[in-house]
Amino acid sequence: MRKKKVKIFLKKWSAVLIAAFFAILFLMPIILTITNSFMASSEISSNYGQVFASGSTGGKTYISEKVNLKFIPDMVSFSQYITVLLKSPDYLFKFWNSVILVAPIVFFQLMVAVLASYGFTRYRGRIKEIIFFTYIILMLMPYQVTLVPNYLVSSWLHLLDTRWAIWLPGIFSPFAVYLLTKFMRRIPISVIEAAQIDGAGEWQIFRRICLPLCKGCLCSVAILVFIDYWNMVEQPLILLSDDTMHPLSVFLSKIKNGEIGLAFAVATIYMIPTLLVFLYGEDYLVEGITYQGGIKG
Amino acid sequence: MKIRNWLAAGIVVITTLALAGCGGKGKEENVPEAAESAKDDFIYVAEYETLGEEGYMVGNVMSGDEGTIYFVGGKDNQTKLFVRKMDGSQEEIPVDLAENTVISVIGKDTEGNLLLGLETYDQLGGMESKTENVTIRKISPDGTVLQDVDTGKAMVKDDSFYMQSLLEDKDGNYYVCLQNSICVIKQDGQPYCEIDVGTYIGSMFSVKGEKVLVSYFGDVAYEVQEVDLAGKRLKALDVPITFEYGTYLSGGELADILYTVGTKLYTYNLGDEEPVEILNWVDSDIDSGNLRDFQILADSRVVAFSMDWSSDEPKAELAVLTKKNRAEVPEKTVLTYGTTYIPYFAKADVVAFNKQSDKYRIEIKDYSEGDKDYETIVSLWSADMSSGNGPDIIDMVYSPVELEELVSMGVVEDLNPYLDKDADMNREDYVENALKAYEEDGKLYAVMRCFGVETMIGKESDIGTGTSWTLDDVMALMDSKESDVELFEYTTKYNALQMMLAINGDKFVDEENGTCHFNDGEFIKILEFANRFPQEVTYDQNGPSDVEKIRKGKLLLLKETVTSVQQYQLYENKFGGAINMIGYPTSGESGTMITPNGTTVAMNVNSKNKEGVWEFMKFLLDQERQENLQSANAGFPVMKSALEKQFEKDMTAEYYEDADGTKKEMPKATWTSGASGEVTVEVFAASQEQVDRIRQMIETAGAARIDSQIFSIIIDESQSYFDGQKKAEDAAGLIQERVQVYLNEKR
Amino acid sequence: MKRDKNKRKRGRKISSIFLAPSILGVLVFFVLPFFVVIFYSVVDNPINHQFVFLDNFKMVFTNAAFRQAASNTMKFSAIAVPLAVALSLGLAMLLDSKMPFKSQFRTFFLTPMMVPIASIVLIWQVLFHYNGMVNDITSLFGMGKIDWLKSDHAQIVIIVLFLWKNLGYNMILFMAALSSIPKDILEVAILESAKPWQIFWFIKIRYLSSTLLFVTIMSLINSFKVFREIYLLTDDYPYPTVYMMQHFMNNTFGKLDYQRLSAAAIMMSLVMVVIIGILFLAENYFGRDVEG
Repeated sequence: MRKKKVKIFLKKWSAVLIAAFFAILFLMPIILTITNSFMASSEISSNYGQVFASGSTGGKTYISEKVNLKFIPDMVSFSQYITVLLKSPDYLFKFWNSVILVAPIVFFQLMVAVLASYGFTRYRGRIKEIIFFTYIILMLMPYQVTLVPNYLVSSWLHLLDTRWAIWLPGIFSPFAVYLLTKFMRRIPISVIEAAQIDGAGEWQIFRRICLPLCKGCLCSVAILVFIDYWNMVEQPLILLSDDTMHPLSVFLSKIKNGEIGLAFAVATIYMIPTLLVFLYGEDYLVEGITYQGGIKG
Repeated sequence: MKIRNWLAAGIVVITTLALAGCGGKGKEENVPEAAESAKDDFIYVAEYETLGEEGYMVGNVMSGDEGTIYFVGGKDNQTKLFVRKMDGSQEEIPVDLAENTVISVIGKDTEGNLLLGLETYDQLGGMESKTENVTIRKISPDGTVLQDVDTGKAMVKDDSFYMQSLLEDKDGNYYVCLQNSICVIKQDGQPYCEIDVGTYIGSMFSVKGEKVLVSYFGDVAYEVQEVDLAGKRLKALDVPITFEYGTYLSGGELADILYTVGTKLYTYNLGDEEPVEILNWVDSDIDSGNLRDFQILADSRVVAFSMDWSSDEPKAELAVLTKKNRAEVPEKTVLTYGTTYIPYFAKADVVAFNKQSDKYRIEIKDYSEGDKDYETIVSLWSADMSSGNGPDIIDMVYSPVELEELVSMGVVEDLNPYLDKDADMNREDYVENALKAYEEDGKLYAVMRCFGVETMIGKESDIGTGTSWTLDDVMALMDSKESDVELFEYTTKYNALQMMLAINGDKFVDEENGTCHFNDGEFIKILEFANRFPQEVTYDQNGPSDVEKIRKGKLLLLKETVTSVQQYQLYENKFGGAINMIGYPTSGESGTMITPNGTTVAMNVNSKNKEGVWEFMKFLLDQERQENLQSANAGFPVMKSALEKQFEKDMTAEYYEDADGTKKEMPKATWTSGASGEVTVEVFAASQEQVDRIRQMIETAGAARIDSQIFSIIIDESQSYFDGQKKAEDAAGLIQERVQVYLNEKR
Repeated sequence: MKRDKNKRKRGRKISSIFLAPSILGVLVFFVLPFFVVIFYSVVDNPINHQFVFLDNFKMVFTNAAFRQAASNTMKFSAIAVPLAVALSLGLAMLLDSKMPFKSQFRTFFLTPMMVPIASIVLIWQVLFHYNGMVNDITSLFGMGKIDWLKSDHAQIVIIVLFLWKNLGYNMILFMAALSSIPKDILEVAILESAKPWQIFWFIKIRYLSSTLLFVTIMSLINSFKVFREIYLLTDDYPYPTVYMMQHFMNNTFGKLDYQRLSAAAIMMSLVMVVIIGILFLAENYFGRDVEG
């Protein structure tokens, strides 16, 4: 009996150890980002200078000195944050740009998608399956392929250089439709049929039964869509020639030498909304993915 | 449940805020848009007038009240003061000058009177005359002398004494702007202080008599500072504007500061958030590079004064710009000139073309306008080009995409048919090699107005008289000398590699079969050669000049772009003997390269006004334009006859009479070098042999063509060899593999 | 009966109305551009618009760089996607067992999703730099220095990057699925003294099959998204083993070569259609199997 206890104990803690090992690997970059943002720029450049020292052609070059990866700053410095938050309003402005670009996309993409996925769930037929399949293919298209056609379509519709050029393709992106449909199709048909027998119309079924069941899933999809667009780089670059409209992610995607310290601070600030979304929504991420209200999984 | 509600509420709030903010933003953004459309409705139409009196050279110029222009005219060491009023009348204001005294500079006080900076010399004319006395005289606009302030020699520190501008503040202090310092003089002529700026002062002006501002190119950026009289120093002026090199500023009557950045005129009032854009000089056919002074009048007219040095006789031009409704102005077909940077020569060519053409006007589209990084510029440029909205005229020097890529996507028009069809043009009239520089597969894709020749120069005694040499020859030369002898000055491993690749880079690539051989011995030799140079060099300001090093035998070669015969003569002088422009080391072929040195343009296939584009090209290649290149080192004209004419001029001596009446040959060009200008080289008329050498070099020169992508891969990978991380063979192997991927992709 | 049929018809119509906004938007912003892509793929260049039919496809297909990119990408997906599925399933099982700090670990595993690309690229570069941390660690074990991003090891780096980014989310998907396995079935199995591997294989995997395919599709999607990081990490023309489809496309895009870009994209979509089609069919098959 005692032996068994020891065995369970060992098993339990070896699992913790394995998990801890992975956790450290997974956590490292985020911790590095945060701690490095509290380093003075001189410390940063002495640590990483060589990685990003660039030749006059702009290519990254590698110089043979030690590259330090440090977790703890020699001296905690807020200078990067002071620059980002106080000295240069540009960053906050760009942060606000990100919010303006992303929030409507998340909100309306979900609205459009939840309706569409209901449409895909009910009365499945061959045509709908083909359309749904097309959605998946379109979802998998790499951005380089669609960027120029998108540019052309935007210019035909006179959306170029306005935020609509980012918003509209974002709102109608098939990604959320795919995820939500996958989820909704798991709602047992019996639940819906019961409502139907009670005389509920399609709208009522959608509003009263599907939507409440989907709430968790909606949250988890919202998180994914948010993360996706929060980090977008290429679309604004091409579709918005006025860089005062560019989101912060565009700045973050190209760090120049000397801006690395700043980039860490900006990245940390940029992570805050994602962090909040995660803290509030993590449980939904787990629960929302699989339908659990029915009889079967 | 609670969290869920919070989240939903949060998203809704953010969305509303975003939309509201956007709505608000939208409005804000509409303002400049509206302003822009308003700006589009109006255009400033310029009327030009050559300023000056017959026979007088225009010297210092100042704009007074209501558009009056005061200027100094000089003739035979005599100076006179003139005034040009807005009604077009021009007259002399009599100024009583003592013997050997000239008006050097004019300025104004705060009450509408004029200030004259008078310099008295020990003798007039000649190169060695010295300033004996400086007087600041205040006169009323009609010429009545109000006050003479004698400052003696207080301000004159050395021979380089030169007054740039002059003004008086409301407290009666005089400010004199010298080259690198500001002198403040009290009413009684006693100097109050001299503030040394330490660098050349761009301009000094007063803001409504209250503040005196000084602009100059500081350590990192163009700066505007305020004179702090109490502290006898300059103090920072907090303005949210970024100025660029070449900014010209002045104090205005309607606005605190008027300034020109790039091609645009702005006004700015101290304390405002942003400047106001007034106009684009190019739209009014004014080359902002020549501007000297400008003023906005109460009736919104703009008076601009510019000096054009491009022809032999400098032209002083006054332009009066009147704001007119676009509809009233006869419509011209608009051509766009696309570039990622506006060089001075392109600006000048475009303005000159616009001025003389009554059918077309070119508008410059600068893709780098605004604060964009290079990647954004390139993607905007590419998106425009590929969707068929590209500019009519493509600047080839500042195109972010290379000619080959433009050709392969079919964006650039073959110019040969135009050249052949045009009755006014004859292919044989132009330097063959210069045309070839942008020729591919028998098609001509771009034309340039003038060119330079990139080469390596050394003593004949060191490098022989051959027309080309190999890397082995260079290494042998290096090995034959002491170890402290430099091959080139201030050359890093990277520079050396870059240099070698410029002409040899394409040798390792077989375009036809899409293969490359960087991993063979030849390329490794180049890497090893580059590795002989230091990792880093620091420019030693107090070190010996290149001439000293050459004369002592410590420096063997110069790598230069030769743009004039005078330059060649300079090198002969520097090396103190026969020189050879041998070119870069190659494996037999010529190592000199023709590079564009002036406006170089291609025609967009999608242009709706190809005739217009050709008009512009013709204009660049036109005899008149070819024979009047902007300045001494502008380069060689591509037209053979113009080139010969230039050579002719280079060989003809010009003379002047000095104070004693002896005839002396006038130098064609003067160079100074060394930390404090201790080495001065004067170049006189060239000999037939010198010109022949230049001619021969032009005739044998090839064209530089290095693929920038391959280049950047090489630079990237060779770094680890230079750092000692890898062997040359390994670095070359990596280069080989990466370039191969690139070549495969291109096929 | 007839009433019922009418009702179904009505329902069908109404459900189409639900679909309308999305389909309209997708048509304009995704399908229309896709037709532009098709158009580009059969003309000689975006300026002339001369019809050349399959020339572009032939040119791309015979292009050595395209083949290399395609094979590298396939290799990458073939290794990384199954690894991502297997490892995340392992992690999910680990966390599913009774262990302390369960929810904390779960959160930790999700953090890579939050880190902005800039930090990722920066930190990866420092880690795998020639003088970076990974080489420091390996040298502790007496291994020589490796230029990670410029050698045959580069593929390992990008696979690690991909796994690091995506394991967390996949794990969550599996955890959700695991928790939805009816407890009574497991209890019955334990009572019948089934061995752990039997429980895993015959019960868990069977119930997870639908999720497995879903995770595979999501991983495939994400394996395309991770290219942005790879691209930023390795430059336009990297070491040949990490020259990916995305490099090919990005570079042809940069060179304004749309006809080739479009042809490559269409070929890629065709492959995608086949893969997704197989997965789709498989999922439908297995999904039904579990449902009854």
